[in-house]
Amino acid sequence: MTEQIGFFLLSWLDPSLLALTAAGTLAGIYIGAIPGLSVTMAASILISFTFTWEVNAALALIAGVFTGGVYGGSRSAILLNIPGAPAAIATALDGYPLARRGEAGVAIGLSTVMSVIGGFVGIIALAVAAPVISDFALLFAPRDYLLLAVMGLLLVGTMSGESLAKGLFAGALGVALGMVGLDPMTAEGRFTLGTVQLMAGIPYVAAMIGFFGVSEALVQLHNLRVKPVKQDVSRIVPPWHLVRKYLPLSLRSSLIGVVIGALPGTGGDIAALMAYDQAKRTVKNPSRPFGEGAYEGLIAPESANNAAVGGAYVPMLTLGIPGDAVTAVIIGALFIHGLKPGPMLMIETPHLFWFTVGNLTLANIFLLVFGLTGIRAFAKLVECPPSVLIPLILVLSVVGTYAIQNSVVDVYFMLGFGIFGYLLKMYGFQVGPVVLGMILGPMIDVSWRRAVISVGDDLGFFVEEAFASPLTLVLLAFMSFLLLSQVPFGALWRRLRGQPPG
Amino acid sequence: MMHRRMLLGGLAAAPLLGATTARAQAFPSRDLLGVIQWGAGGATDVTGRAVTPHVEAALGQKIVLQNRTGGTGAIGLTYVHGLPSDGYTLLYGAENPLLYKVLNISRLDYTDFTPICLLARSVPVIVANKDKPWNSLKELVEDMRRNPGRIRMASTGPGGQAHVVSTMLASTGPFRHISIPFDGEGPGLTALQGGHADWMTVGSGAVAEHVRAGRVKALAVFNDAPLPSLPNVPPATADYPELARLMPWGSFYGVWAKKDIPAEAREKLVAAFRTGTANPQFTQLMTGNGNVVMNTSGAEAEAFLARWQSVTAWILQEAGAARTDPATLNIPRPS
Amino acid sequence: MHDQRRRREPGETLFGYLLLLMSLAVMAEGSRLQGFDSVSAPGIAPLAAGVVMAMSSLAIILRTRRVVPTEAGFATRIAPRDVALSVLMIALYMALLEPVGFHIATFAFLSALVLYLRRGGPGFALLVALVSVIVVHVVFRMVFTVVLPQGWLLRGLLPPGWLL
Repeated sequence: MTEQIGFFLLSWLDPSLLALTAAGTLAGIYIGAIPGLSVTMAASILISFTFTWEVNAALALIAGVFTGGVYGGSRSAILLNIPGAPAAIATALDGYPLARRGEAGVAIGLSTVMSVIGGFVGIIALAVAAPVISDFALLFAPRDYLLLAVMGLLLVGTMSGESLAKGLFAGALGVALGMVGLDPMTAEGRFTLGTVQLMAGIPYVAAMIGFFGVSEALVQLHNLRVKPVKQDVSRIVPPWHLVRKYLPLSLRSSLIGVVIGALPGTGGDIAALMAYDQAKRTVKNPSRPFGEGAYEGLIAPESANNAAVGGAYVPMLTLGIPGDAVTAVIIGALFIHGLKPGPMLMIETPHLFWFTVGNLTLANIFLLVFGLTGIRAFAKLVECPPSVLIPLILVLSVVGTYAIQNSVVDVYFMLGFGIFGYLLKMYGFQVGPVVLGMILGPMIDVSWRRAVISVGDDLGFFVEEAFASPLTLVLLAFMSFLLLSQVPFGALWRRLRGQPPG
Repeated sequence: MMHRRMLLGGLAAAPLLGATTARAQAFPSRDLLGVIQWGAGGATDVTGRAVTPHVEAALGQKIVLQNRTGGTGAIGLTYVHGLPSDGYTLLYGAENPLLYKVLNISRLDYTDFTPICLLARSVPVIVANKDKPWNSLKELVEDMRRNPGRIRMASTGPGGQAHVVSTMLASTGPFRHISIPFDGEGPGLTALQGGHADWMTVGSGAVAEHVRAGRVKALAVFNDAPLPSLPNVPPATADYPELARLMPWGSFYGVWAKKDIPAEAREKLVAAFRTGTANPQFTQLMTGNGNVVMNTSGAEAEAFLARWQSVTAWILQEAGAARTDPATLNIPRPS
Repeated sequence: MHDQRRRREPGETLFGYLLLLMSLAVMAEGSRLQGFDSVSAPGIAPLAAGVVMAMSSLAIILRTRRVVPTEAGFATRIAPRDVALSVLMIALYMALLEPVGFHIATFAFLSALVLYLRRGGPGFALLVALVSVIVVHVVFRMVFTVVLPQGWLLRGLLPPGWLL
């Protein structure tokens, strides 16, 4: 036990490791905040950079970047409506309206505290229950991933805005956009029009930047002459009573984050979206209606995506299976440093496990410190006149999109999406469902096909197998509950009885 | 390290102002670009990133690595193909392009490229879920023959290691099984451990630790001799000696440049990669992971590629999995 | 029911038909990929998405026909001058990105757009553009080693193999 505490505290007591964790966290916040710069990218650069270092130093730096990066995406989501990272998509839904009201400072402060709470839940889960969680994650069959994705897609219903038909169209369009490229299962081109450029598909980050960032920038051109809203930065650190009030929601969301993060096929982006959906369903009296700047709509995704960091480390450390793209790169780093990531890692090098846990804890403490400082300058950024801010947003969108996979074609798509998204917005559509469809569509596609291929295309056998699995049954029951809860039974009943809707 | 990078970047901006004398300087006079055709964290990426620092030391210049993924590597290859043949752009690739034409993925493949260095190859390992009754490759294959269309294999898509090895196994006598494509070896191994697939073929590097921990059962290595990293796993030829004619077979990782780069650049690159690949740190890393260091270039590498392509394309053609007949592509039948 | 509050924007009907057309294209691709033939074909998800898109765009078109149009025209409601010109400049920027490379295209785009939107002197716009290009170069090219588009028009001017 004392040995484990020693490993846990290793990076706390060694000044150079302490400094590296701090530097990593700070850099991560900015990497996360700049769209197109991803933690995956930063981590793989760090590997060639830390090649000659000791493995602990490399891991400390990466843990900091990972923690900071997942959080940093919320900055640009709140301030510019451009989620800096996919995990911050849900954050933009209520975070940006808050900034439009002049509450950017409060929003960032609150999301910092909630991210740290989520981060700690993730770490505790990792430290206490890693083997249990990873065995649970292995139970998920393709059909269970399918159910998870479908549950996520139900969010279209609550994200649709004025008309369900428009929401459905946007969601289905997103699914279709997500299919562009070589089919991952048969290597056949879909929507590629026979060109090589389209084979790689359209990254959903490009769509996210276009539909969220550029289209909003174009909308803002309508009120170019309106003075930007004055940002209230008098109260950055959220008051204790507010934190306590939202603690239950934050903890619920964090648990969703841990589980979704630990599943090898899903990461912080889906965790945050599902947590947002959960908040929208369970919170009866939000501070404001969701989508118009509800604190709850900010707290749920921010807690969940940072909890997913701890979750993602679970299968990586226990089984050598990456929980997401970043942990895949970390596994590569361990290889290069001569370690053997795999099921024996925790048994043969237990110090690595406790070192990582200690490191993530430290990174979260730094996150709290760095997250709560410098907010004033950030918030003031949006007070910059739109005639300068909007062109800068456009350029940032271009570079960010290009950086994802070094492709100019992606930039064309991103700008095209921006203009198309502008039209959608002008005609009363919500753009959220498009991005949601792009994220979940490919998951639904491959999970469904994998599931039916596993049963030799025999749908009878498919149902039989699904009903034999307790996990599938639980997920199925949960999904039916979500579906039924969306149907307004009261109104239907009144209408059937011929009474006017209440 | 960080400092050096900044410095190099700073220097890179300076000659914009006027130096065109660079043409006269010896190769390489500045940063090179290395395009990796697979994603960060994958085998091609890890192998490339592990060897590059040693090559940079031998070359005296930095190689800026970037991943251009998609289209089973066709995107990265097409990109490098479109850049000037000056020796300053390298393609870090794997075996997949050799099958692009047969599988109708892209019209461009390694034809216009020259192998600078084949770094390492992995040996496929046939593994099963640990609760399955089979204890040898023969038991698995015979069970598939007895129960056609019942046993599930995790694959990595057409032309992938699992697909080709199962086709090769079927050349010993046909069987029918369900093949579920996953996004890569990692996700396939995950499904295998969860019982959502019964068996699969994985590169030795990715699976060795899982075998050692007893999480999966190794039935055979697809080789004509056991591997040093998995000494207790029998070679596939023990059960099916006729497979020997197809071996050695498996994924491999290498570095290519355009065919028409200046001879001086090619010689320098080949020499630098030969030195870099021979670095003990790199060879230990590779063999420790169960890979086989190749470090071949020139005619030897060309011959390896030609044989690999011929064997694989024709086995796919015989199984009806090829979309274009290798005969029309002038790929000779394996001798 | 909320739609009664909304009025029909200029061009909305046409937009609806455009969406329907898109839906049909998606369905066509789905059926080309055997979406009708097998439950596990590559075309099954595109086909399903196309069907949902087609049905919802039909519903959208029908709904649009029933609401009262606004009096204002397309040029005032949807594409006022600031928006139209900015979109035009974006298109030009896109077209220039590959030929002249990222640095020059971005500098030109930023200075032009800031100059136009701000309606002040050119000095400030040029300064903003210059500083932004430098910052982007430092962060993306140097720290993150992202090789930005080079521009083939000017390739002859640079030494071989040059990476900006």
